[in-house]
Amino acid sequence: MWKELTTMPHVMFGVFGILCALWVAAEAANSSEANWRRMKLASIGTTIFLWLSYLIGGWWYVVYYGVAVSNSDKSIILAGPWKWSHTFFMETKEHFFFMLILLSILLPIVVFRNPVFKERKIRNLTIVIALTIVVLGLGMEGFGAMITKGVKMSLMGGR
Amino acid sequence: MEKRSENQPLDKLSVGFGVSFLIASIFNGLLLIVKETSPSLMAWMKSFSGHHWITHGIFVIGLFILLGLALSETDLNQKIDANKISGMVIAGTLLGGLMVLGFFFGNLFA
Repeated sequence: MWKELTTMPHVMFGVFGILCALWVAAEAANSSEANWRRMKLASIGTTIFLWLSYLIGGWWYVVYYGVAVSNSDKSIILAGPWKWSHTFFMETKEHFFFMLILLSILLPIVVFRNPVFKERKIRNLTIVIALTIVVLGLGMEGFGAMITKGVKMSLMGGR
Repeated sequence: MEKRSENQPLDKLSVGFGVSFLIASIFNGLLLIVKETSPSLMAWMKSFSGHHWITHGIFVIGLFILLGLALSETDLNQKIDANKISGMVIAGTLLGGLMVLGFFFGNLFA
């Protein structure tokens, strides 16, 4: 039960991180001195949630997903008809995630150290970083769905 | 309400880490391709931390932080404005992303 339950926080914190990044983009698009504090809060939320998603997902990946036993998700997928849900989607996802992590560090640096509300170019940069996180994050969610589907297809015998 | 300006330079740390993102993102793609095609590097990365992906993360995130701190000590912010950093964020995401996507997409047909 522990193993099954611990798959959820990776996805949940990932979604929270995406929502916080979207929040930053919305605040930046309407930035003023009055909402700078909220923008800072949302940018820190993005960092914290994406790092939690990374650390929990990474732990699950190393300890459960990829271990060389016959009932690990990786082994199940590779024994079934959707092998590419591991060889393409999982492999791509695990390396794409690093870009999200780097952006989650960059976002609060820009928001905290610059008057986003005063300067159009800095506001636009904030929006670019935040929306890139949103797009990559949504992509990660989709990739995760394909990986889950790969396990399901194997267990259902490809039907 | 304060008027928006076009002259406020981006602070040094933001410029340093913005440039570092572009480099670390490309490094992420390159390291992936090299480790996947070099069994000896893959074996070394596994032995370094117990898993190649953990080592990969340590190198990419470590490079990003160290390079970001080093570049923020320079006067790059006098030459690079926020628009250029926006371009670097987009370029880093596209280049790094296409390297990863392209490598594994190509592998599907190998």
